[in-house]
Amino acid sequence: MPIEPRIPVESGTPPKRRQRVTSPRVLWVDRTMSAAIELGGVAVIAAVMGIMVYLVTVVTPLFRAARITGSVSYGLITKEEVQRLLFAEVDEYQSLGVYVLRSGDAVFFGAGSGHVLDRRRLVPDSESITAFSRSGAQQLAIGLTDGTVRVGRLGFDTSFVPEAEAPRAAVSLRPGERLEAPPGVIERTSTGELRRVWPKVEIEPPVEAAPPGAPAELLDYRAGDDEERLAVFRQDGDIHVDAISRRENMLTGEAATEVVSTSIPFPEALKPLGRPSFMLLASAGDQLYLAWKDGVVARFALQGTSGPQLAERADLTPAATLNDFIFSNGEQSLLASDSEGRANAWFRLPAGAGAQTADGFALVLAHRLPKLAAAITALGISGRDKTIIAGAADGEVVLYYLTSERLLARLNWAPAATVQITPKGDGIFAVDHDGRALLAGLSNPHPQTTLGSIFRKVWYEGYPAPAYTWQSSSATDDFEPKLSLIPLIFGTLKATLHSMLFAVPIALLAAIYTSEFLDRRYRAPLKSAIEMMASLPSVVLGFMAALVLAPVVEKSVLAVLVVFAVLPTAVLAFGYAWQLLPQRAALIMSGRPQMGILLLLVLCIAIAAPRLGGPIEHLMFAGDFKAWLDGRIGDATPGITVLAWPLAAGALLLLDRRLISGALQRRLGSASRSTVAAVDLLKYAVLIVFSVALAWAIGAALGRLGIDPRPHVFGTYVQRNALVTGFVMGFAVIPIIYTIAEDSLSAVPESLRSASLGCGATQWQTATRVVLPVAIPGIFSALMVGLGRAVGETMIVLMAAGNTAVLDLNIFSGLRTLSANIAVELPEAVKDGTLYRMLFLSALTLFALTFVVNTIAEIVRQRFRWRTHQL
Amino acid sequence: MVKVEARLVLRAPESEAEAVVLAPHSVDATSVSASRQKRPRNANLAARGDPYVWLTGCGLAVAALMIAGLLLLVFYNGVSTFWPKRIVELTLTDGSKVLGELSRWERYKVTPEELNGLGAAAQKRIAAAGGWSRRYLVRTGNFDLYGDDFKWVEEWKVARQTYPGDAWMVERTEWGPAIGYLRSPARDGVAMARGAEDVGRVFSEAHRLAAGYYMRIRELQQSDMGEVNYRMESARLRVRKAAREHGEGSAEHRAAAARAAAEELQLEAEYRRLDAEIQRLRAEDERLRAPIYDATGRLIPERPSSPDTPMLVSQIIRAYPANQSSLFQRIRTYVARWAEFLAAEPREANTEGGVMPAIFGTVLMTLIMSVVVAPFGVIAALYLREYARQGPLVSAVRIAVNNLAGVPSIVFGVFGLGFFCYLVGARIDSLFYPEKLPAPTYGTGGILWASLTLALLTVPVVIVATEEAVAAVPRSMREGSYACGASKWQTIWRIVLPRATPGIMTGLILAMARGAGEVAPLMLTGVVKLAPQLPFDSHFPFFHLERSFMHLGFHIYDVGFQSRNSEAGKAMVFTTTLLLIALIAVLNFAAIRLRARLKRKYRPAHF
Repeated sequence: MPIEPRIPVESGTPPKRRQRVTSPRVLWVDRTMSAAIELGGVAVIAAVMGIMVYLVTVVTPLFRAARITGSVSYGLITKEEVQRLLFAEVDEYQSLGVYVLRSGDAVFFGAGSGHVLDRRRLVPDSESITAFSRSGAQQLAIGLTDGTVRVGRLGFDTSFVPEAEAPRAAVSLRPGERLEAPPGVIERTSTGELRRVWPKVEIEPPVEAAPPGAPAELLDYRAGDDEERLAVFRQDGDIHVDAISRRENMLTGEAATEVVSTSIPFPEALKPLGRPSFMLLASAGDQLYLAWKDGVVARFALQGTSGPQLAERADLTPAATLNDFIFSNGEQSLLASDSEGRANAWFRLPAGAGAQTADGFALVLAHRLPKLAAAITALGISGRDKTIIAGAADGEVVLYYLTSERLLARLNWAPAATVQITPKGDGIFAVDHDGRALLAGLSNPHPQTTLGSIFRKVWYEGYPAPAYTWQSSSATDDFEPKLSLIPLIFGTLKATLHSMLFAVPIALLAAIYTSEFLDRRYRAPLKSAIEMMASLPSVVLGFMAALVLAPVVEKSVLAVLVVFAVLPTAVLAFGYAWQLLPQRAALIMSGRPQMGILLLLVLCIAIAAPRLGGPIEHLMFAGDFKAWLDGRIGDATPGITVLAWPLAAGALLLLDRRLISGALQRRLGSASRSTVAAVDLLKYAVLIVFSVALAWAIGAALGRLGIDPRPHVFGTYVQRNALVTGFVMGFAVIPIIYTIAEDSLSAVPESLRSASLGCGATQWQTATRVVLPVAIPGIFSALMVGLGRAVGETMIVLMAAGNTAVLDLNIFSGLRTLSANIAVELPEAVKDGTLYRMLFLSALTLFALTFVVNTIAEIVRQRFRWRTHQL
Repeated sequence: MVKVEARLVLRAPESEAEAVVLAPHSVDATSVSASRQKRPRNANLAARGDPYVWLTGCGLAVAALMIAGLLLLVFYNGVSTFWPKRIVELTLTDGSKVLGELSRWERYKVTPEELNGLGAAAQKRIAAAGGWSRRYLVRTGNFDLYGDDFKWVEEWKVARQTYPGDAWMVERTEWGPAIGYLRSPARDGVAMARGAEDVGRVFSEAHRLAAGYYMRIRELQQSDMGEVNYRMESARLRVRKAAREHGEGSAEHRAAAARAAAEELQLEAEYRRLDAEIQRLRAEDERLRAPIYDATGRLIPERPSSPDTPMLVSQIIRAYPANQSSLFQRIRTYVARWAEFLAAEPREANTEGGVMPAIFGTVLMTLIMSVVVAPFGVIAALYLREYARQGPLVSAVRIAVNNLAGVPSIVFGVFGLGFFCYLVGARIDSLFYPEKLPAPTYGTGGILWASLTLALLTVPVVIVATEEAVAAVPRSMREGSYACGASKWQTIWRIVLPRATPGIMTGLILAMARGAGEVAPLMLTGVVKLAPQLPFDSHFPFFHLERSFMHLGFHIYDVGFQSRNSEAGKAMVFTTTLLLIALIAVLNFAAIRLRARLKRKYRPAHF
C-alpha cells in the first residue's frame, strides 16, 4: 500500500501552527518494523521449510560411497620375500604393523613408514613354517617343518604411559603425532594421553594331541566362546580336528589344557582332486570345508550321529580358478573369489527336498558381488561388519559390502598379495607383489544401506530365502543389521487401510446426513462435538485401545465383527420397515425425533448384535472362532463366505436396481404406498437371505477348490492387532474427514438444492445427484487429509498394534509402522549411526508422503472453492 | 422444510430412468413435462431413499455414540477411581478368606476340570447359565505379602460374603495399599488405645504426629541436603572451570581448588549436622507403630525382610475403616485423594501418589511453546498477508505452511532431536558449559527443546489463523487509516491487529490445545517417566530449561503401558486421562468462547 507520508498534509487555515511533517520517529518505527517483519516472516517460513532440508542432509550420507583418504605407500619387503609372506597387518590405531614370513620371522614395523622396529622368531631357528592360520584378532596357529603344530597369540599390546615414564622425545609430541620407539610406537592421543603400542608374541608349546607325523600343509584355528578348535591337514593327507579346552585350577592357578582329537579319513572320492588348497573350520566345530584350486569344495559334517562324514561336494567357481576362500565376519557365509574377478558368498542352509546331501544341509549361492575386470588375488574381511576388501590382479583394490552386494569404493594401486581392513574399520592395509605396502584411511560409516537393501528383498545370513526384514540391533558384533523399510511401510499402509475402511464410511455418511438431512438446530453442537474429538490426544486413544478395548475384543472377537456386519444391515432393514408407517406418522417423526430414534436404534443394535456372536460361532466356525483362525478346526468355507458376502450383496443390489426394481414398479401399478413398502421390505429380506446363501455357495465352491483365506487374511489372533488399531485410529480420523467433508457439502450453494427440489426431486435425489457430485472434490480432499493423519499417527499404533514388524495381511496380527518404529528406536540410536540415519529416512519418507498427500488435497480443495464460487 | 417434502412426494418421478434426468446439468422443461403425462399413481419409495437416509443417519449416530461412549468411560472411571469403596471379606468354600475391594467382575466359561470338582447344585446352576459363571477381581492390596495386588475369585468358590466393620484400607508410601484389620497403634510396643472403639481416634492422633516427623525428614533430605549437594557440585564445577580457562595447575586453578576444599569441609560439617537431625527424628518416628493383620491373621510388616515388625505409622499416608465411614468421611477421603493426586509427587513407579510434576511440566512446556509460537506465527502471517507481494510464490508458500499442519508430529520430534538437541544443544554446551562435558547440559532432551519442537509443530496453526483474521479486517478500515496519514506500521498496530486479535487468540489457543496433547515428539526431545528435578527451583537462574520433564500424556503412556502392574496403574491412568482431556477441553472451549465474544465485540467495526 504505497503511501507518501512525507507530503505535507494540505489543510485550510489552521487556528495554530500544526506540524506538517510526519515525525521521524513514526517513520523510523515504520521502517524498522517493516524490515523486522519481512526478516522475521522469511525466517519463520524458511525455518519451517528447513525441516525437510535438514532431514535430507542427515539422510544423504547413507547413500554416499565409502571414501579412501590419505594413503601412504612405502617399500616394506623385497620381491623375494613376498613369495614367502604369510600375512601382514597393522594394529587398530594404524601405528604398528607386523608381517610373518615362511621362515618363521615375525617383523614389527612402523605402520606409517615401514621402518623395522622389532624382529621375533616364532619357531626354533632350525625350523620354518609349513602351514599357517590366522583368525580373530590375535589368534594364530603355525605348522612347523618338524610336524608339530603350535598355537599362540601374535598382535599388539596397547597401554597408556604416564608422562614421567615416557621417553624424552615422546613428551614433546603434539596430539596426533607419533614416535617410533623400538620395539613399538608411542602416540599422543587427541585427549592428550600418551598411548604405546607394543608387539605381543606368545607361542605355546606344540599342541600335544596331534601325534607327530608329516608336517601340516593347511591349518585352521578358531577360538570360540569356551573352546578352541584346530583343524590340521597334513602333507600325507591326514585330517584331524582338535578341540582344545583350557581350565585354570582355582587353587594352584595352574592352567590345564585338554585336547580331544578327531581324525577324519580323507575320502577316496576326493583323491582324484589332488591336494586341497584351502581349509576352513567353523568355530562351533561342526563344519569343516576343504577347497581345491579348481573351485570344488568338500564339506564335512563333524558332529553327526555317525561321526565325521563328507556331507556335500559343490563347485564354487565353475570354469575358473578359486583364488581365495574365507569365512565372512560371523562365519555364516563362505566367500570365494576366482580368477575371473568374481567374488561370491555361499550360505549353508537346510536343503530343500531332493537335495543330495548327507546331513540335510546344502551350500547355496546367496550373493554375487560386482564382478571385477581381473582375477581377485586376495580377500580380507572387516571384524566389525560385513565389509569385504578384495585385491585384483590388475591393481585394483575394492571394498564390498556383503549384504547389500554394494561396491563401496575402488582404488587403483597395484596387484595385492594381502589386503586387510584395519580392526576399527577405519583403514585399509595392503602389500603388493613387489613388496610395497599401502596404508590408507577409510571412511565407511554406512556400508549396509543402498536403495536396494532398503526397498528390495535381501538375502540375510541364515535366512532360507531373500526377505524384507527390519531388525536393527543385536548384542553381538557379527550381527547383520536388517534394515528394510518395506515391513514398516507395509505396516503403515495396513494400519492406514484398516482405519480408513472403518472411518471413511462412518465419516462420510455422518457428513451427508449432517449437511442434508439433520435438523438445523442440532447441526452446530453436533458438529463442534465431533470436531472436539479431533483434538483428543492420541495417547488417550492409544491407552483405550491397548488396555480397555484390546482385552474386550480378544474375549469376543466374533461378537465385535458381527456388530460391524449387523449394524448397517439392521439399520437398512429398519429403514425399509419405516416406510410401512403411514405417511403422516412418518412425516411427524422425520424431523427432530429422527436423531433420537437413530441413537436409540444404534445403541440397541450395538447391545443386541453381540449376542448373535455365540450362535454364529457355533453355526459357522465349529464353536471356536480362535481355533478356527489358528487353522486347527473347520474348513475354508466360512472364511470365504465372510469375504464374499459384501461382494454378493453388492452384486444382488446391482441386479435389483437394473432389473427387478423397474419390473416390480410396473407390476405394482397403482398399488398403495403401504403395499409398495411391504413389497420393498420383503424384497430387502429376500435379498439379504439370497446374498448370504450366494456367499456361502461361493465359499463352499472355492473351499472345495482348496482356497483357504487362512492364514493369509484370517490368521492366528494376537491381542494387539490391526483390527483394534484400525478401529481406534478411526476415532482419530473420523472427525477430520467428517469436518472437511461436511464443510464442502455445506459449501454447495443453496440455489442448487432449491433448483433441484423445485424440479420435483426428492431430498435424497438432491443429495445424491446434485449436492454430492458438486462436493466430490472437497470430499476427496477430506479423504486425503484423513489419510495423511492415519499414516503419521504414532501413539495409537505404538500402544495398540503390538509393534511386530511382519509382512502379514492377517487382520488379527500385529504390525509396526514407520512412526511407531521411530518412537521406539530413535531414543536408543547412536547419533549419526546407520540406524539413526535410517530412522531419519523413515521420518523423511513420512514427511514426503504426508506432504504430497496434503498438497494434493489442498490444491483440489482450492479448485473446489473456486468452482463453487462460480456456481 | 418438512411441508415442502410432503408436497414433493406426490410429484416424485416414477421410474429410475426419469430420476436420472434430474441431474443438475440436464434439468429441462421437456423431461419434466414428459413425466407429467404418465403421472405416477403409486408412491415411488425408491426415489425417497428412506432406508438410505437412515443409513447415513446411522453414520452420524455411530460417530456421536463413539465420542459419547469414550468420554463417558473416561469420565466415569476417572471420577470414580478415588471414591472409597467398601471392603468385602469373601470366605471361600475351602475355608480361606479373601479381603479386599471389589474391582470388577466378568463372565467366563467354566472349564470342565473346575466343573468336576463342584457340588451338584453348583453344577446345575452353571449348566443352567450355559456353562458360564462369574468371577470377581478383588483388589487385595498387600503386595509385599502376596506378590500381587489383585486376585480373581470365581463365584462358585465363594461361600460367604461379609463387610467387616474393622477392616481398614491403608495407603502406604511403599508396596501399594494394605488392606487388613487395624489394631491399636503402639508406642514402643505398648498399645495406645484402651479398647477397640478407641482405635480410630488413637490412630488419627498417632498419624498426625508421625506425619509431622515424616514431613520434617523429607524436608531435611530434599531441600536442606539438596542445597548442600548443590553447593558441593557447584564448587567442584568452579574448580574445573578454572582449570579449563587458566590451565591445569595455574595459580587461579590452585586458588579455586583451595577455596573449594575449604567450602567442602564446611559443607560436610553441615551435612553431618543434618544427618544427625534426621537420625534423631527417625528414632522418634520408629517408636510409633501400627499393627495391621490381613484376612488370615498375618501381620503386615514394615518391610518384607522383617515379618514380625509392625508397620511404622509414618509409612501410612491415609487410612480409613472402609465399611464404617460415613458419607461425609468418604467425601473427605475422596477430596483428599484428589488433592494428593493434583499436588503430590508420584510414588511406586508412578502408579500411585500424584502427578504434580507432570501437570507442572505440561503447563510450563505449553506456556513456553506459546510464548515462542505467538510472535513468530503472527510475524510470519503479517509478512505473508501484508508485506509479501501476492503471487503464485506466496500462494505456494501458503499451501506448504498449511500442509505442515498435517505432517506427522513424530517427524517434528525427529527434527527436534537431531537439530535442537544434537546440533544446537551440543554447540551451546561446548560454548557455555565446557566444564560439565562430557555430561550434556543442553545437548540432550530438555523442556526448552521440547517446547521449541512443539512450537514448530503448531506454528502453522497460528499462521493460518492469523492470516484469516488479518484478511477479515475490512479494507475500508485500512484505507481510512492511511487517509488519516498513518504509516503502514501504525495501521497494522492500531487498526489491523486489534481487530484480528480474536482470530489470533483462537489460533493460539487451538495451538496450545494441540501442543498439550502431543506426546510422540516429546518422547524424543526430553520427556522422561520420572524427572528428578522440576525445571524450576530456588537456584539461579530459577528456570532450568535444559532439564527433562514429566508430561501428563507421557504419564498415561508410561503408567498404562510400561509399568509392571498395569492393573494397579489403570485407575491412575484414567484420572490422568480425565485431567488431560479436561485441560484440552477447557482450552478448546476457551477458544470457542473467546472467538464468539470478541466477534461480537468487533462486529460494529464494519462500515
